[in-house]
Amino acid sequence: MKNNIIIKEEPLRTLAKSYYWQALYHRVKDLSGSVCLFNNKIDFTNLQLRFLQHLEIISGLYMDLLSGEDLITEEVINDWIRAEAYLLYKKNKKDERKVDNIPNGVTPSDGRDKIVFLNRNKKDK
Amino acid sequence: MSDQIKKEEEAKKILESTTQADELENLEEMLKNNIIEWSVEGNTYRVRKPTYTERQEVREIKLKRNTELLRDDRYLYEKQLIELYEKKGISIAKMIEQQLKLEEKVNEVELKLAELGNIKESESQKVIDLKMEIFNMKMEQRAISLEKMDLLSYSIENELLSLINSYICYLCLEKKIENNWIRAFNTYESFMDSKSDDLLNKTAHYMSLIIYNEK
Repeated sequence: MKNNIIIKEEPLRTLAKSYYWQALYHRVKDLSGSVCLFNNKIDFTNLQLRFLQHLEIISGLYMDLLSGEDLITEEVINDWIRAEAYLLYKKNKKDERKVDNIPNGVTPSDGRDKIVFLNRNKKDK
Repeated sequence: MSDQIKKEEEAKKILESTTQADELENLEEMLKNNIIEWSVEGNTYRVRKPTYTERQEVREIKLKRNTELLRDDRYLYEKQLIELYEKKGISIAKMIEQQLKLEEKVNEVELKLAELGNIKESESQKVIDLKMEIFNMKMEQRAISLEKMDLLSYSIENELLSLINSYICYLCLEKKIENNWIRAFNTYESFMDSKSDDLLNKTAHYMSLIIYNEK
């Protein structure tokens, strides 16, 4: 038996970018529960989950374009190498902003100290 | 360009766009549900997600095979294989390091490309060059990944993964008989011995679209 052949991402992206799927995706988000993307409401397949991820990414790119974000154009959305580059750039900017927002003298944590703090509060009570 | 060549090129373009449209239509059909149905040699088959009981059965099979392989000196775990390759002068660690370095470089170039977001590709050679650089590095990464995969394909982990994949295919492949769906093969052995390569390959392909590889 041949090894599994993986469907390349390009056709999935093409479909996810189509007007039909983007419009449907937004309706599903707006009318939570009353419109479905697929026949099955649970137990999604690997393909469906990958497709959902593309729908979300492309929807985000169009939102950025509509809200006038810098460095995003229709040409960038239509070109996957450029779109991925833009997404990385955006992620880096977001991470930089997060670091900038941390008050002086406080070091970023992984959240573990929060758990200790909560436990300590419980004991104090 | 002669009229004949022009016509041939136009026909080729039409054929390509039709094939692409067909592919998208098939893909859309597969997306609609968590069951994929198709026909081979006049019979209708489908694959679906495994049930909890079936997943338990797969775990049992995996455990049993792992114990057998553990007792067989001909089989090695990935870690042991990596050490053996190292002694022969093939370094998997170096391959991973190379991949990570490439990843870093891709990110660097991607950030440069992103900063040219407002510039049209048709107006900038730099955009074309950066895109090409990213593409080539990704190809290099892929080549390393394939080489690594090939070297480790004889590991116990890989052997188990193949078994799991084919066993799930056997469990979840169903045939339509008088409007009822029944398991296509009575035993795993009869499934593996099937003469129809087309059926087995399509089952494996569609199953890979339904489930993640269970390690």
